[in-house]
Amino acid sequence: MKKKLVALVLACTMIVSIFAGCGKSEDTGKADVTTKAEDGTTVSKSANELVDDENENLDITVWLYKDDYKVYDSYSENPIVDYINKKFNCKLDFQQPAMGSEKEQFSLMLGTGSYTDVMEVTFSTEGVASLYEDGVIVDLAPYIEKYAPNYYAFLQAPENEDVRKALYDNEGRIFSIPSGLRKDEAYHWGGFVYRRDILETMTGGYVSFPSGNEEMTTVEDWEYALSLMDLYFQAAGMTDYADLIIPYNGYFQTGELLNGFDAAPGIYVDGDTVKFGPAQDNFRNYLEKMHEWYEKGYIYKDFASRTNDMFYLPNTALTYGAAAGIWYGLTSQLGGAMSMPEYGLEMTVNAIPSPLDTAHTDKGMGFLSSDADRALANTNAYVVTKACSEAKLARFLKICDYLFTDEGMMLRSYGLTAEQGAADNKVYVDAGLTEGAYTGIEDTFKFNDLLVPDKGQLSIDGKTNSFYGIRLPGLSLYKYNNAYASEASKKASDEWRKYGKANTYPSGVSMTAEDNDAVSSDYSNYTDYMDTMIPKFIMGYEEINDTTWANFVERVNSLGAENSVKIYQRYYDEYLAK
Amino acid sequence: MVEKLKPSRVVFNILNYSFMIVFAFLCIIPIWHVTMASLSNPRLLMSASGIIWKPLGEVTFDGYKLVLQTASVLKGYGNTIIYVVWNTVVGTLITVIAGYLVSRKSFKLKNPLMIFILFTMMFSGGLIPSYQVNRALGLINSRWALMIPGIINAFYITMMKSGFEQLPDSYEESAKLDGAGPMTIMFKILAPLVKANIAVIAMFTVVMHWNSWYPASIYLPAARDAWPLQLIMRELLIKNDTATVLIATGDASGVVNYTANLVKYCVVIVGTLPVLMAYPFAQKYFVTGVTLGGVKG
Repeated sequence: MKKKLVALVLACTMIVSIFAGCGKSEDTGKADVTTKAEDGTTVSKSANELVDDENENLDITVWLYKDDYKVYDSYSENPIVDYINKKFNCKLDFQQPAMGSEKEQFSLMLGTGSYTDVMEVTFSTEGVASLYEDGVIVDLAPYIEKYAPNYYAFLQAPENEDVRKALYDNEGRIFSIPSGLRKDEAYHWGGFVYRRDILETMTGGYVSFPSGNEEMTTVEDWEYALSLMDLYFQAAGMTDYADLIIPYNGYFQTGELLNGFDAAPGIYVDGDTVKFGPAQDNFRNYLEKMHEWYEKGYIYKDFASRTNDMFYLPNTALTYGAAAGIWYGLTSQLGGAMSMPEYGLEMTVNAIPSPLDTAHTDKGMGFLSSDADRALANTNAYVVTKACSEAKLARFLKICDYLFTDEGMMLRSYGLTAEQGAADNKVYVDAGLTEGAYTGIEDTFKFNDLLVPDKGQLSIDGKTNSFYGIRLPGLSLYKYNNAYASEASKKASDEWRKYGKANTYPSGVSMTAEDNDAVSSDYSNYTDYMDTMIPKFIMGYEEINDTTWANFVERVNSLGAENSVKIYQRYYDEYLAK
Repeated sequence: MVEKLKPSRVVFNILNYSFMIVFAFLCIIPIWHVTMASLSNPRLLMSASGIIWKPLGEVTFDGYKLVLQTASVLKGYGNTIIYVVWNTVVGTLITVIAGYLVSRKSFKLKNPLMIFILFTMMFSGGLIPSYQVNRALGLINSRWALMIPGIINAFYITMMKSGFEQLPDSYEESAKLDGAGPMTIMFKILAPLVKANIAVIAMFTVVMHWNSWYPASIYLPAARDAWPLQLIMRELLIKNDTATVLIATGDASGVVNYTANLVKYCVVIVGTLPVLMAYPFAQKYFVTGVTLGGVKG
């Protein structure tokens, strides 16, 4: 009996210990910055009361996911961070988990309550509004006006309306400072590409698209090319080939291919109205055409089984093995980059837009989520936690403010100049950049030879990101990089962006935790169903007729698409009204 | 005199050997494929499908150079050896002592303690409580986070307990009559008789800690110098993902360095080769381990 009692007590002790981590923080969730008074009591201060003694060196801890830096391991060693540390008399101490463990580490930080002063929220499973509601982060709006006047002016500028609308919530609060903001656009990195050499071979150099254009633009042009590619691969005796590769679920979740049919893969905006793409008739047109192409053998026969392929790098055995005609490609694959002349393999790869379904639309759909809008306001961003003291908050905002000035923007985007002390920075000296990363400005701008994009040795070695500071909050400028882009890249970017992104739902709009959970759950439910049904429609296992289509639409709506549209519409109305 | 085999025995032997050869072949193929891929031309490798029987193009060691030139790889080897040796030696020693204790019939708290131990085997405290305990103990970003909390395994204690219980009581009684104390009985009399169990536990511990990366990713996020080899390899793998390399070359006229495509194969070889080389010498203990707990004649 005594033994049993001891066993019972020990087992109960174990059970109680399981709940050790389930306690809730006593944090009140207030927006004000809190500080410990000398008597040990916690007091709140408003923005006007904050005092930052700039003579005091502050250690600001920052949680940031890792990226590949071939020159150093920790972002704390970044030369721009070093410059900022000296300029603002502080030490930005970056805490970076192992690559691949970011999401888990971020959740662990939230779960255990051991926050850093500042956090980058890319790997947060919650939106910034939820983090605020949970009492993890502070509202920055009152402090930005006082400590970050340049940034405040940037937000108030008419041309930055999109950023302002995404950042401010309905109560006028701001929870984050973006690190992905672009002053101008970089060239787009991926989209449809095709083997031009096949068409040249099959037509003896006289390629003639039905549209009369020099490149493929319409569905009819694609059919012309696909039929020639099919003949080419058959004549070559290939058994495993693909005229066209599409993702395993039968559609691109980023919008490519569908946008040519004036259709979208999910939530999109049409004027002031939010709609769900797969429930619209144009989506049916897309499915019918894909089914027709599959029946003709144009679409890769085993596409539905390629569940592990990333849409931007499909089946490399086919694409790099010269057994694919059209696929979602990358800038680095254009021209003759995929050829291997030493093995008798010559390929000419050109970029093309999605095919315009001229039978049903003359404009296509401005949906391209892979070309995210420039705000990315609340997703690629930094937040300040309740663990941050008032002085550190003020200092951090001053740093952010500097990085939103023209000088700060150049520092982030293009690194240190000789005048900024490149010769005093160990990373720059070791890399041979004592004369700085660049010289001049505007027409006289010139990269250091080692850093010339895709030509300089440091660029070829993939080391350039080690010398810039683009992961810090602030603005990015691409125009000098863009000036070095090849004509092929510029042309490809134009082709891939042909339909624009006017119908893409603004990505920065943040929701309450409840609504966020609701749309996430809906998305999971209707996407599972779509990913099952769409390949069936394309492969013919499910006939596409009025009845099956009506059932499909009804089912996706009942699985949450309709509910999500209502939620998104509510936030979109608020977004437009701001 | 050589006994003539019956026809049925011959047929059985043919089928048996055929099956074992096919099975061995299936086990070897993945290792062979990875080895050949790691030596292949990286661009040709991208266009290959199916099993690679011989290196594609000219044999290249560029992938291995890339992996081994990473300074932290050698440091990772050193760290892994420290963790493996510590956990194997100290962990096994503690396991033997614990197994001996809970196997003694005269030990009054035997059953409650066993329930206590078995409870931890079935119900884990969970990540966050474990993290909080480690943090409270000051173990975060310290090597000891990998050397103290996981040093003993409840399952291994039950294995040791089972091993000690299978020995006749007379061994211990005789030793006592000869004046032996508990330590002498445990280490000098009984432990040598269960050395197969000890060897199996030691080997399992070696393999487990050699392959371990997860605890380090949780408890040592900022102590990169203390990372084990497998965590460094994992990061190397993610850094050199083919898609990342292709996207990083942002211009059509840029030069793509395909060597990174070999890294995923090279890290498998670099990470598993020492264990593969050690395995033949420890094979007999693994076989013993499979039969542990079986009915003895």
